[in-house]
Amino acid sequence: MTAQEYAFAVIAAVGSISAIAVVTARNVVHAALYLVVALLSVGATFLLLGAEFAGWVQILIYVGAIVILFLFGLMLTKAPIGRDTLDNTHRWVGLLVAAGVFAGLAFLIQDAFPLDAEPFEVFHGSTSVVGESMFRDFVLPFEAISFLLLAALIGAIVLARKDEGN
Amino acid sequence: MIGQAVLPTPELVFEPLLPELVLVVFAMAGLLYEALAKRTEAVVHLSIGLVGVVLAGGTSLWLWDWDGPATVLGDAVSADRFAVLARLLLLVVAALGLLLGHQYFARSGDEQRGEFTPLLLFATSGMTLIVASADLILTFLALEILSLALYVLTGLTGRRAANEAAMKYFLLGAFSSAFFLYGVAMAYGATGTTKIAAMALALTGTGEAQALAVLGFALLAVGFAFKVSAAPFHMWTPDVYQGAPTPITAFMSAATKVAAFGALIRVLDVAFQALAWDWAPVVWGLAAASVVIGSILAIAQTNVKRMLAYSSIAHAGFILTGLTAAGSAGIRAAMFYLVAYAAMTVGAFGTVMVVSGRGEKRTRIGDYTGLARTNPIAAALMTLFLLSLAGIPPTAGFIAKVNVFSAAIDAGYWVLALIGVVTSVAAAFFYLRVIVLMYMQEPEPAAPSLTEKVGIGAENSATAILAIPAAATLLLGVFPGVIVGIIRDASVLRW
Amino acid sequence: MMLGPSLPEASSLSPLWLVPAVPLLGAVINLFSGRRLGRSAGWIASTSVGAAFVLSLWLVIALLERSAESRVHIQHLFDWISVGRFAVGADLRLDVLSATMILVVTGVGLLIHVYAIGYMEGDRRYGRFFAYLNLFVFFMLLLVLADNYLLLYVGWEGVGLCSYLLIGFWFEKTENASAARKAFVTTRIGDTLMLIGLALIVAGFGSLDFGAVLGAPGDTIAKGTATAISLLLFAGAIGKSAQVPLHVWLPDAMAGPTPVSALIHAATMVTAGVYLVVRSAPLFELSGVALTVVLIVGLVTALFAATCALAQDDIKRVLAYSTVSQLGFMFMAAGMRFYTGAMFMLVAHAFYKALMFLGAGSVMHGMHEETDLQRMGGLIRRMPITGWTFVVGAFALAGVFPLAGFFAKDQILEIANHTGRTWIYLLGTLGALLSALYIGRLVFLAFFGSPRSEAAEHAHESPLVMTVPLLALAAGAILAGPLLSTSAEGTLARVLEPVTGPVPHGEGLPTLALSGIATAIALGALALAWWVYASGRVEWLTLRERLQPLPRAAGSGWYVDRAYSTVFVNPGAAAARFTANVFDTKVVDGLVNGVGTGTRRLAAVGRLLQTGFVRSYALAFLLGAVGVLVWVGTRL
Repeated sequence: MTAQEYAFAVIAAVGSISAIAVVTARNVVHAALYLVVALLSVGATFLLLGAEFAGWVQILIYVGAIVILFLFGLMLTKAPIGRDTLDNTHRWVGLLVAAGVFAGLAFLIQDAFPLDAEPFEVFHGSTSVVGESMFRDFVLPFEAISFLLLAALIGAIVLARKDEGN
Repeated sequence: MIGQAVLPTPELVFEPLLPELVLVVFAMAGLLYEALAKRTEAVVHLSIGLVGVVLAGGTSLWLWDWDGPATVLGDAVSADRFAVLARLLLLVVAALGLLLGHQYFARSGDEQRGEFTPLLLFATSGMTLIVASADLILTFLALEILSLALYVLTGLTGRRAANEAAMKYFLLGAFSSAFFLYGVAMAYGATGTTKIAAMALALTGTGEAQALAVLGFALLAVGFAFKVSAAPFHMWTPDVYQGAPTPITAFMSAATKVAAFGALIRVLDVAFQALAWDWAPVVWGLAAASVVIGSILAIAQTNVKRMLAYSSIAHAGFILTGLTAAGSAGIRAAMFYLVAYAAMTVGAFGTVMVVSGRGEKRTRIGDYTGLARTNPIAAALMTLFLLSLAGIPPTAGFIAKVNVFSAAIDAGYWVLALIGVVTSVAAAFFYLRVIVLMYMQEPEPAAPSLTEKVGIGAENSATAILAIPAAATLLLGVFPGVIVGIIRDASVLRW
Repeated sequence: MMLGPSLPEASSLSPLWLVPAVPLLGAVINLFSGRRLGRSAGWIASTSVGAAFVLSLWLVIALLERSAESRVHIQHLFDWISVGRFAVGADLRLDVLSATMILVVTGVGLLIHVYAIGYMEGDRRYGRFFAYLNLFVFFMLLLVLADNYLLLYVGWEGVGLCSYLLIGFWFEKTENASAARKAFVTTRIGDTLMLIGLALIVAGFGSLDFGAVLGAPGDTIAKGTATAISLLLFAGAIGKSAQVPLHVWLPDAMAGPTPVSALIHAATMVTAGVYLVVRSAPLFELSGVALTVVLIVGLVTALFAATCALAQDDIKRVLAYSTVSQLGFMFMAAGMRFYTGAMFMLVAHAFYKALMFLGAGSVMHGMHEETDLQRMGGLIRRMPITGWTFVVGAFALAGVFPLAGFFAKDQILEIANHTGRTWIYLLGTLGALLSALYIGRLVFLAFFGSPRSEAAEHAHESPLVMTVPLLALAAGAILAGPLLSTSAEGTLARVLEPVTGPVPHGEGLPTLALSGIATAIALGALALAWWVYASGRVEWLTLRERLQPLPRAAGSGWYVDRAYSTVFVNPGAAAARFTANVFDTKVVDGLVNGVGTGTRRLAAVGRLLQTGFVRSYALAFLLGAVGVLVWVGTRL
């Protein structure tokens, strides 16, 4: 085993354990924090594979933004945070869905990238390569995103401003 | 490559994107006017919007004879006639939406919103972009642009029903976007590209069934099915169509379908054309489910807007019926249907707007009792549009149905055509029920007479606007030949 | 048969589309602003038809300047319907046949329009009337100019609609409204069969274009198919041209204003059936059966309607039955493959029958809407122009040399004789005799003898705007005669030959002898009519009493109407009552309620799903997505 594979084993173990902890935690805030760990390990996996840009983006957006959004959401909606309030009866359904998704993905990935296929060239997702590609091949989608954000901004203002009018 | 000092940029051929640029510029102009002017006039907003739409239409028309490359801007935008025709249709619908919206705010009692015109232009630009998009990432972004604008437009008036509708639309729309995006990812995984042309090449001649590609298509189909409100992804439609201000319902019921079907056609008939045998059953199933569910549930409705919403679900099914035929035949049938559908659905919702009166009070089907007495013109218009929606000659709806059914039969899906014909007959019932109410029964004495309605001038000009879809509905029903040639030219996708 | 495409140097004929377009424009103007235009509505309508007439004349002259083989001009206006490989264009065809028709339609139409300006004076819906009349002219022109069966059918239905609107123009009177409905329903029977015929044509030829269908139909379809198509088309013609057994609507249609009777129910619309048969001749030719059916239906109608005409007391009903009878003669001609003869008769009949209808209208005008022959008499002294022009028309119908009707009828009988159809000849001659009798009776009862009522004594001549068209039509009835003879160069026969084929020839009595017999019969019958009705030597009312019940039976159209009532209408009404009372309440309502209940249950299920909660929508969405994925997965 190479150093890379050792590192992967560790990261995968941490990630899996924290992912299980997300769903087993009795306190919803704890679950959110476990989620941070799980997402961090995903980011670390990206970094390990040389997908530098994807790795950092994963950490920035998911850890930096989305989990924080979760926490804000929990606080602002005054959702019950304590123990024993999370139990619901759909556990088995959840398990079934998770198993189904896992099986499906496992099948699809091995179908598309079989183990015995010849290894293909690893794409080095360095930031400069991604940036170059973005401004050369994806310049229009990039611009479209800026426009999309503008539309979202205006929409948010329109909806928010209404309340003061009434 | 990394060491290069100067970033090699692709050649910028931006003409095929001119209509969108024009729309965006005018949307900005509207926003600036709203933000900077001391007192804003609704007429100025309307003019800004209309000029923008007309200019965008002009540039689109100019693109009809475009002889440059088939795709530009890094293969992200198609410059074919299909895009031109779809854009023109969208722009006409947008213009009607602007006019109807102007009338609506002028008399409905809902607060006039300066953001209406810019948001509608935003939505339109997303729609025109999506029908020209040749890259799934751009398709996704355009889908989001149009959806975001529509979410806000739905809740624009701030009435409770509108807010609730906007919220539902937003949440479910986001849900469907996730599916769509997952589909893009799967398709990328299968082909290594998001450009539909490259995707088509990658999928051609590979022989084996590619699970990843088919799965990607299925997820994309779910996303599109949501947007076109095909069953079983239609649940949002009645709530949103009912809750949204009627002119916006008119606009989005027609334009969203045109846009989403335009994009779906590119995905089906270019990107996944090699997998036609795999996707046709999916389209088949969605079509069958939509026509059946849309037609049956429409019967039980007591609100006209809800009834028309279910009818639009059924019509999505009919268009999908036409699309089961791969290639140009299906595109022709679907395009004709979209043109006809846009005319009749804008007209129907527009008439609902005229009848509903201030604050959208009169939208129950019962409110249409004896309408022929109180407002004969509205009753006549409604009759025309309902007959067309029911597919009764000599209206556009009839020719459109004949086209999709014959396309499906030619492609060998006669069972689907049969389902379509049978449900059309069943569906005729709920359209005719309204007509019977309007003509064969006396108006309820308690009902506020339409002669007392507010702003009779506004009423008349709103009715005058509806002359356009009415003329189109009749013209295409009696002389469908006038656009057959155009559609034939437009049905060839360049990639 | 000259059915090929037109030659490129067709530019002089390119205003063809204007011929139907101008009356349409007139209709649109009158429809939308008829009330404001007042009296000028009539002049606008007449001008539009007049313009169409001048244009037609110009086009026909241009057409005739060409060589006989190239007298076809097809104008493609636009693609109309195109579904898959099946395409129908809005194409107009000007050949000698349609040229003849447009001249008749616009020429006679113009005179009747002018006449109607005076006749309809003071009517509440004056503008509306002319709008309908112009619309009718448009549809009629569309019918005869169409280059495919679908466009023809559009015209066909259009004239039917206008006929319905105009018969019921004074719909305040119940009988008018019911006459309109009767006309509409009766002709629909034929129209529906005709539509099936069109479907068969599409199935057999894959096209509805005249060029494709009539070029060489024998190469494409079997004889049996040709028979079926021909008979179905002929069924349409039976309805439209009021032939037995669908003739019952035409006498009742006289409830409409008299110009309508003249234009629609004498000169043009009812002849559309004849036009259809002549136009579709190549199809009929393929099938001996179809031609025989045409011949027999024509013969039976000619005789049957003539006997009915003989016993009518209403002046317009005499003329109506007369029209039915004369149309029968036209179909006889067509049934004997003497298409030219059918067209002669059509043209000649258009002149003299329109003349007589307008004359009848003038009489009614002068006698306060009186239509009963028993209350007329001696009118020729009060209304000389109306009277003498009517006599011209009557003599033309009776077949007195050298008026138009003589040539037309004489030639048909001549062909019957020359092609060895002796029985047809004899029965046809009997029909001619009856024609002369009933028209003689009409003329002598109305215009000669002494006045039999107050109104008849004080009748007055109609204004110039009405009498001038009468004079013009009378001139037509006189002058058309020589133009219609078969032999000479430049006559209608020679011009029509490329489309209608050569006149059939054969052995038989010499032509001169036949003409002599015909003239003798016509004059003899007229003399008989004079002796009975105008000489004062016969108590014709007593005679009629003595002959009962024959006159009463004939007067009621041999009880065909009553038979239809008994056999079709009453059982139909009973069935309708049964349907309403028993079937509807028990079965249909049960079903509907069942559907209702079912729908409610479905709706209940639907409502369960349509909770309004976003989370349940999302769940449904998810299930749908899983469904799609499973559906795809099972097919991998």
